[in-house]
Amino acid sequence: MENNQRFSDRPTSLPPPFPGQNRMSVPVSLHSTKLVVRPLPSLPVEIIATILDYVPVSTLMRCARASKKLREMAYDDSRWVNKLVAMGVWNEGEARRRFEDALKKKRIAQAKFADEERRRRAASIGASVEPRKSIGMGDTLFDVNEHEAKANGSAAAVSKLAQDVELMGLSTQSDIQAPVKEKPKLVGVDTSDPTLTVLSDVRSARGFARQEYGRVYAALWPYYIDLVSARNHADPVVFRRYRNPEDQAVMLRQLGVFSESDSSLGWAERSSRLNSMSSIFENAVLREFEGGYEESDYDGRMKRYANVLILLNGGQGAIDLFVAKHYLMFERERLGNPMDCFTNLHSADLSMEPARRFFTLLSEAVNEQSSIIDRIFPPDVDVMIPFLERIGEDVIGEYISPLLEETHDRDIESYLKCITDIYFSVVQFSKSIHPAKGSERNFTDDITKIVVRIFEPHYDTYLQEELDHFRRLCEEEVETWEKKITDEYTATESFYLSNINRQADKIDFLASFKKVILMPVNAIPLPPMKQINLAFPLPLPMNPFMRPKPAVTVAPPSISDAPTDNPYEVTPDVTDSQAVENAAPPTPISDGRVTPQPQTAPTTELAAKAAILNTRMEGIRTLFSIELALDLVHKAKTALERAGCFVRFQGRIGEEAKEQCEQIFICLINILGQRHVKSGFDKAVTHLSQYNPRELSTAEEDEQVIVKPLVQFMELVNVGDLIQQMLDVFYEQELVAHKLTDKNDFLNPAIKEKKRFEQMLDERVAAGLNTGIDVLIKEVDYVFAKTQKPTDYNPGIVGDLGFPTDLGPSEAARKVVSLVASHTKLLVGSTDKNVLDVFNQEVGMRLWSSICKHLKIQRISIDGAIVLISDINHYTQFIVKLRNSGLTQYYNALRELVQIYLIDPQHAKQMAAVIADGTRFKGIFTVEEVYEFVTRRSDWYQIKKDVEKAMYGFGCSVM
Amino acid sequence: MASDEYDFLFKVVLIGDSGVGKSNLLSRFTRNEFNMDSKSTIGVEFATRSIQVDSKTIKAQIWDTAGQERYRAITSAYYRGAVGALLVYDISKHITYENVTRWLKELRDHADSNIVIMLVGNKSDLRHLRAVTTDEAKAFAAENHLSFIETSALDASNVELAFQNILTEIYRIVSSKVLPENEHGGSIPDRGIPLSDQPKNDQGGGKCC
Repeated sequence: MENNQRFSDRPTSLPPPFPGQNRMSVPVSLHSTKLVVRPLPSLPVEIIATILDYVPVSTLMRCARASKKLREMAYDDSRWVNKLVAMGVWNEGEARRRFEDALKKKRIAQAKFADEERRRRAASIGASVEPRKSIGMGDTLFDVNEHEAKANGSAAAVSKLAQDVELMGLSTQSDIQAPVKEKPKLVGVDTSDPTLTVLSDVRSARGFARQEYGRVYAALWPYYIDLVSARNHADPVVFRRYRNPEDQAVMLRQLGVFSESDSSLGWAERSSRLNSMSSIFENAVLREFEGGYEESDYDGRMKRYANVLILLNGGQGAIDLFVAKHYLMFERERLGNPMDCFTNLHSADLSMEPARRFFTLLSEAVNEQSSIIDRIFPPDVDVMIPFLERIGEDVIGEYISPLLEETHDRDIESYLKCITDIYFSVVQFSKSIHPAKGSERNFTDDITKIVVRIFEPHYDTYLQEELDHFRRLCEEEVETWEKKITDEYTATESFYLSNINRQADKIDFLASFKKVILMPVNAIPLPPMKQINLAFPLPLPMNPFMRPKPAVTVAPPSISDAPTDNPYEVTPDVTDSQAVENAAPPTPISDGRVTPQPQTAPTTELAAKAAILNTRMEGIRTLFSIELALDLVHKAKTALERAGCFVRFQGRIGEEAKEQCEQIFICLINILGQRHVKSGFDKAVTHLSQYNPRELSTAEEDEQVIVKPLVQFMELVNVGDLIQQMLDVFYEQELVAHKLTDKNDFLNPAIKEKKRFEQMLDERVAAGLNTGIDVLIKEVDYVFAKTQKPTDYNPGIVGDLGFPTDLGPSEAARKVVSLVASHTKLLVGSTDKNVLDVFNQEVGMRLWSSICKHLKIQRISIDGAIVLISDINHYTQFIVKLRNSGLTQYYNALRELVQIYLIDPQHAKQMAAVIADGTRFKGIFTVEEVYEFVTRRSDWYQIKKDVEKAMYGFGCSVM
Repeated sequence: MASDEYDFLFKVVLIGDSGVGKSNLLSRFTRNEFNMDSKSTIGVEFATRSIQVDSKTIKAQIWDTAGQERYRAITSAYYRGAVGALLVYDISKHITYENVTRWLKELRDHADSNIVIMLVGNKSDLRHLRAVTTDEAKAFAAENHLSFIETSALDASNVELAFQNILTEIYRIVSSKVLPENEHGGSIPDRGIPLSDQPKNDQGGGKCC
């Protein structure tokens, strides 16, 4: 077989593994050792194996010749794999793939073997042997095949093995090597010299580790041993053989790697020698690099020596040097002094213009550096990020820290504004930086991390201050307002009622409120890094940042053609795509105010609506104010927007910022709810309960009867509802929409607080309504007492007015209905439907009892019954409109009942049947009650006897 | 109490089975309304409307009664003083027509003998569901000396006419009687008198206009 032949053709005598070693002495020495050793008990295999781990390679080879057993151990593939692993050149994945491929191929090959023997032979040999040979220096150092073939002594086994070897190691070489191993690019290195690439050429193949290592060993060991024993740095062969610094760097690195596999005696010393050699070399190169730096020879010396350093050890030294020696670190002052932002020496007046200028200059400088970095460093080294880290730490950090501290000391408000302003500036700055060629794909993420690091020392104080400031502001606001109204309260107690289309007003108002809330205020920058296409170098990235957007009509020219995603922003009518408004973060206005210009329109619109609403609801102005609520909500919005910037940070800062945002919301609800609305309601309820209709002047005898405190209270309910809806919109739009809080987390404090507010509102409303109903019914009773004439139901009593001609409810009934209706109507749309239903039910029931009570003190004639029936029908009509079936039943019973007044006296007996007919009144009136009503007939004393006789039988009359 | 001037005031009752459309006839006539899902009337409802006959203003006081009232004591109160009655049945429900006889009997028993009765076949819009032919009802009406009309409160056909007709008829009868009666004044002392031509004196049964 040819395979056999091939392997048997291999030289049986190996080339000397190491130069200068006497082969001939080996068998002799071994022999003698054997002789000496034989009487000794042999050591356990494990110990021998461990010992062998520490034996120098040359000795190991010698041992291998001692005996089959030792050779087996010395040749053990895992030993060599370990060495390769130590050097970091073993690729387990590749090895496995190779192995699996080999198995597969073997199977195919076996199938084909029998019938396609000849063809296969010719092809495989031709394809496989050649590349192997072209690489192979030292690949015959150990010949496992030969050894194993001999060991097995079987021709068949040899042929099979040879086949394996061929498949695993050789024939698959070309197609596996390329994808698996990524060779570092060796710029400026003579790659034709195999010694320089020996490490990168190592293949990972099981069963061949020894050969691979042998190759490396043969190439590097002489240099290694020479270098570590050299007395000075000029001495070693490496430096003499390779004159080129790039080659030297590569060699040094290879030797460094190689030293990792050196585990024999004295390795530590050798390794440190090597390291010190390397550092001498590195220092020399760095000096060159620095020299180039000082001369700004970017493309020449710097570039070259950066490359050398990268070849040597990844170039960290060069990067460090570059960053550390960068002029930006030393010339920070040139870019701007943080104290320039204070327009006044002592006051807190801030102008962010200098800060902005600072960042612009910085950005320009950094971008300039970015291109320099591209020139100096090859694209596979990331210099930008370490550079920016330093910039962030040393330049920006140093700049903003004193600025923030100073503002914090001077005035909290401007501090809060300042920090967000700076934040925008930094974000803007980070966006304006072009990635260098060497930047990795997560460049933006890395920049974000840097930004986070810049703000890390400040955000804690900031968030706390933001909350405190907001709370303080709100409290002040509410207090001033309360004080103001207590002053006014005594003076003016006139309530103004306008009943016109309250609901439409409210919807209108809420709509514009929502609009304002939805308006992206410029304090909220759009998510950074998204809109700007970083791959696209923006020539004028600082433009929108530099110039505050002056007004809605003028768009700062910018190159970004991202569409504005702000539906409320007035997009200027420009056809030139160059001038399309930048979608990049809106700009804080120069005076540091966070509320931006474009918001003005809806805000004023809202203000106008609020004013309109306020005049309409003037009556409740003294109890709590929608304006104030609006104001507080606005303040909360501003605060949230500021704090919201920090939410985008990942991790702890983001979480804490979120929490703080929720806290702000909670604070808003607390102050608005507990302090403002609740006390307002309480006042209203007190006011309501003190109301006494009889104390009212008799002047208002007109149709429009109203219970003013109740109206007032209902208006209050309206406003309360409005405030609640406002908070709801605010919550949805500001917190949920911006993902500041999780809506579905029912344990979330913000949600809990919101629920509590709503509950509080409901309770107040309920309490107020309860009192309100009392008052209303009191008023109803009063109207009954005042307007119901005795002749209404008993016309015959005065002269012969007689038969009522004009059918219709009496004045009293009309007044009562209009009174109750006008009040129930007030609540529609202002409160929860359930609350409304309960209220209506209660009002209906109380009215019903009032009517019954009222009936029982009237005298009703048969003619008057018609009026009474009309009245009752009138009440019922009103009740039916409330759509409350329970109530309607009561009134229907009343309608049935009042018919007994129609009954002619001659039917007295049958009247008794009607009275006793419980089903007729559906259990709402008992027989006794009906009887009581019947006694109100004007002719009762004439028919009493008959009725009672019919009702209680004749027994009574016997008495 | 009277808010407007009138020459005659007539009380007219609407009777008939439950669900034949009495309340809607009334609301159509007095308010020109129709309520699709009206509930059955409880007790009694009143409405008034004035019409002009021979340059006289006639005020109709219409009582819309509950069709299912069981107590005669109460139903008789409905009829008391009524001078006209619209006996309504539903042309799509034959049973309501059959019950007309019973209602007639009740009227004869409780109402004034001179009461003017009009048979009204309501819901004439439900042509496809018609269960009582016009001729049959017409014949029945003639037999019992009733006037007859078919109406639809839903599409308002004949509603106006029905009331107009009955009020005119009453007016004719009353005006022919009033003058002679007026001569001896207060000839009808019964307080259930069907006629009243003056608001001030309905008990007296008549006065100069």
